[in-house]
Amino acid sequence: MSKLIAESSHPALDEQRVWDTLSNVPDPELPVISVVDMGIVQHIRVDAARSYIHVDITPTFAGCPAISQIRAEIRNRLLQLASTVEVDVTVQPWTSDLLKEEAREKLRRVGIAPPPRIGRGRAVPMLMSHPLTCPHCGSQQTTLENTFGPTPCRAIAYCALCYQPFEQFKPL
Amino acid sequence: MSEIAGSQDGAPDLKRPLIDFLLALADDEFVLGYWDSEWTGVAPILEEDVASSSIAQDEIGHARLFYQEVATLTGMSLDRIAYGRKPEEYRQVQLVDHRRGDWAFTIARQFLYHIADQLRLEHLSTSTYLPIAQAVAKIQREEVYHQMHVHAWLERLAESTPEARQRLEQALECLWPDALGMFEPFPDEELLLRAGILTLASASLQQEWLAAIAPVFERIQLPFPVSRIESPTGAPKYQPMIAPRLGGRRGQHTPDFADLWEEMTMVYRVEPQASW
Repeated sequence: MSKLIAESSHPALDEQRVWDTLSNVPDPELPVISVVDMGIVQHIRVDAARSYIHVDITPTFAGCPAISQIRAEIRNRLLQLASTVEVDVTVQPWTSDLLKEEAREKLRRVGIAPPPRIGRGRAVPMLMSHPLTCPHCGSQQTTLENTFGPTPCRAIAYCALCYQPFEQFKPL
Repeated sequence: MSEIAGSQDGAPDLKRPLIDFLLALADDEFVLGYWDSEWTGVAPILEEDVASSSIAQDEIGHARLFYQEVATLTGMSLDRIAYGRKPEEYRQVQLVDHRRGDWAFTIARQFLYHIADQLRLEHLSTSTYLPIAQAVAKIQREEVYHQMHVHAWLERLAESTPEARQRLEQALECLWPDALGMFEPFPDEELLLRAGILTLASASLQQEWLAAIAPVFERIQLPFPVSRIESPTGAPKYQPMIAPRLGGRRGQHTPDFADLWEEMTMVYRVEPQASW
């Protein structure tokens, strides 16, 4: 028996559904966190009648090597919701302030200290002159070992209280 | 001066100068990024191994932002723009042509370059060509970490052992002509200035650069082959006592770059049509 699958049998397509779907797309470098949590997904536009979704994404750092992968993954997931999906990489400056509170908590749980809120402040003094908080034990008896780390967004620190290194998300 | 919102609105006679300008900005970062990445595995200490790799990654990312705009304007693929040109079609300044040298050479070159880049980016943030202004806003946020890093290392080397100081001074002596070459006017610079795409003439940028470097070099007592002419009315004028080495913006490059080009384009040239 052949089945005719009409477009209207898709569950209702709206922005919230797209956000919900994308909150299950992990950041390849930090799989516990989604691209929505990271503030990588900037803008969503939906045209349900035409089964069309448009998403603007921005990399955290310009040199992010995962952006093509993220773009492809977002597109693949959203093609399950609509027939036409466009994902554009914009140059909207990303700021670490875009990290949501849930993201900050997830970072702590995997041993990465979330960045201090930068607002209109200056990033380097914020990283170098403010006490860093150990995500393992909460102590501020910490030192910054290297401003640079395994990815553009992370610095390397050490906790003198629990003797563990940790990564510090850089304010940007 | 009307805002040029994007590639669709660009006047035809500006297109080629704009593309060449974008390539120059991109090629500077791209070539420098490649040389910086060569410290991976062999830097003096582990922290600098990580730092150089991270900085190189940022630099190539910055190049990619400008190459992306060239791709939009020309319809060419990013890979073809980055890797598919002949050596004489690259437009970076000769300062970044040099291979990485020893650590002092890398730091000296980075310092001279980053001061100029910081000033250039400040001025480009008000470019009438919005894609440039937007890319620059993103780049500036990341550059603060590079600037801090190179400032710290310049001081560290200058105030360290006699050998460190000697290597630093030798590097600077070698690099001065190329550093002055950073301010070679862009092709059709007048057109770019009139359109507001470029907001400051290269000669003026050189003055700002010299004014920024002078106090640093004076404080740590590094040779500064530049004379300073006081002006009763305005800012002092700086007159370099060394001739600049020009040609990079017009595709003239050094044997070091020829070697780099061979290596960095090798994979692309094997199969230009391949999709990676």
